[in-house]
Amino acid sequence: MIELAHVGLRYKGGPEVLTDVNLTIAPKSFHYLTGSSGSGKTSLMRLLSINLLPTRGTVTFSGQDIQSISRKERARLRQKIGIVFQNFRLLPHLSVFDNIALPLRLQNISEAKIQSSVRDIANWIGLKDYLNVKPAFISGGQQQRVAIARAVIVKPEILLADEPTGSLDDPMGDQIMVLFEELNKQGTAILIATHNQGTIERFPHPAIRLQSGGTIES
Amino acid sequence: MSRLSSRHILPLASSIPIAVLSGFMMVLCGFCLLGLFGIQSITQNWLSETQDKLTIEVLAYDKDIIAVLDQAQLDTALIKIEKYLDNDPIVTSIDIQRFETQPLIDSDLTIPAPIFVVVNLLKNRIDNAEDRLMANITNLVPNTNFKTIQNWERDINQTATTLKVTFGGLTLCILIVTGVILIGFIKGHLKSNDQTIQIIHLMGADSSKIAALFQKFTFIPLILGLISSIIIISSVFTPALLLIDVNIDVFAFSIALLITNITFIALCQIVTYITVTHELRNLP
Repeated sequence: MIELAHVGLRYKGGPEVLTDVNLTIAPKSFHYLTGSSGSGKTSLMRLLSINLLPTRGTVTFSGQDIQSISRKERARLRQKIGIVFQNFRLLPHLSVFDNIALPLRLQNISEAKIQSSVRDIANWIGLKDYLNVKPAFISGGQQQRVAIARAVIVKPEILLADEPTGSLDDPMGDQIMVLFEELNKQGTAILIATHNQGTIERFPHPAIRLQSGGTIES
Repeated sequence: MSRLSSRHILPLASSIPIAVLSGFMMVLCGFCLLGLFGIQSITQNWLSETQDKLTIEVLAYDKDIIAVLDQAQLDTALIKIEKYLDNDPIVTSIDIQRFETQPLIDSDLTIPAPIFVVVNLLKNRIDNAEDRLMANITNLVPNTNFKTIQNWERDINQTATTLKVTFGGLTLCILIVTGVILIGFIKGHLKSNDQTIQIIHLMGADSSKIAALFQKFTFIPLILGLISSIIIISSVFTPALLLIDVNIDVFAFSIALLITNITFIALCQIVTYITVTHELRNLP
């Protein structure tokens, strides 16, 4: 589904943060992305979410080289990718409902469909009673659930999560991991960037280790 | 269809400064437009008033030898002219305008001021009647200048053009200043909502879609500005103009005001779109 071949990445005026990364993420797979701080995990996640373009090598998504397609086509590809951040990044002025509905509204889905989809997913994540509440009034774990709901409501082909349990305690983090495993069983590929060894041990899945300089070790 | 509204990314309350700015600027634009219409009306009044007038300037100096005349010589010249005008059939009435003579500072010499004779001519006069009248007066009194309808027209049109260009330039300045302020405002919002824009972008919005959201964000306050400017202009400026007896074509003015303000809104929308897409040009 996503394939990186000899990918290098350099930020403007800086050193190369990724050198010769080769990686394939298959549909319906579940991987961890690990590596020490500064190894380039976040940069790799940004590449995979088509938020950055490589300075060399190729990134292919569903057979399409992301550098050779138009911005509009890249935007369309991004709609197939769900992203969850460590700090949730919910929009504070919107209710939980509107936060979850945001990607559907971006795709001009009908209001009736939005209502049913959001309520279904709110039931699944256990937040159906909090739909009209602003994110500031729910707990960190609940905010992360909202972020996950927002990421998966459009049924993405892959879910990228950057330290999704990083700001949660273990029991709360485990509940989030259970949600990810359920999603994976429904057919969504999952890639979680984490350095939380405990989570990896409690929920074992193949890990991709990114070493400083960008080489990959599975 | 449930489209993404601008309120989903930017709180509507933060667009209030645009409403205030656009309302103020549209009032200024309307004021300039009133100026243009007022000048048009005043010009027409002036031209119609001078249509059948000839102004004779009896000079206070001898044209040929540049010698200063005394008051007696000037009065003699005036009597000659008056006598002639009384007998000319194309003259309906005359109006003599004298100015006070002021002695030169630290001097005993008093230079008389020129005398102006405004001649009202017959409306249905034959061709060249005016030229004949001017030639005859010049023969009688060589020290005369004439200001004909053509001279008046030229002067009035020149003044009107200058004023129109000034008001047009002011309108242009208003548009430029609005554009600059709007660019700053949009840039500020892009910066302060950086996280939100990143999220929308990651969800699959390209820069043109984000620009369209910003256009929606600025559209409502611009419409509010338009409405408030129309209310202010129609309730304050137009009655003020009518009070000073300047007859403007209210219908034409209303249409022009509407067109100007719609153009103003369209330009603001274009500026918004260009600013957002330019600022987000580095997004992949």
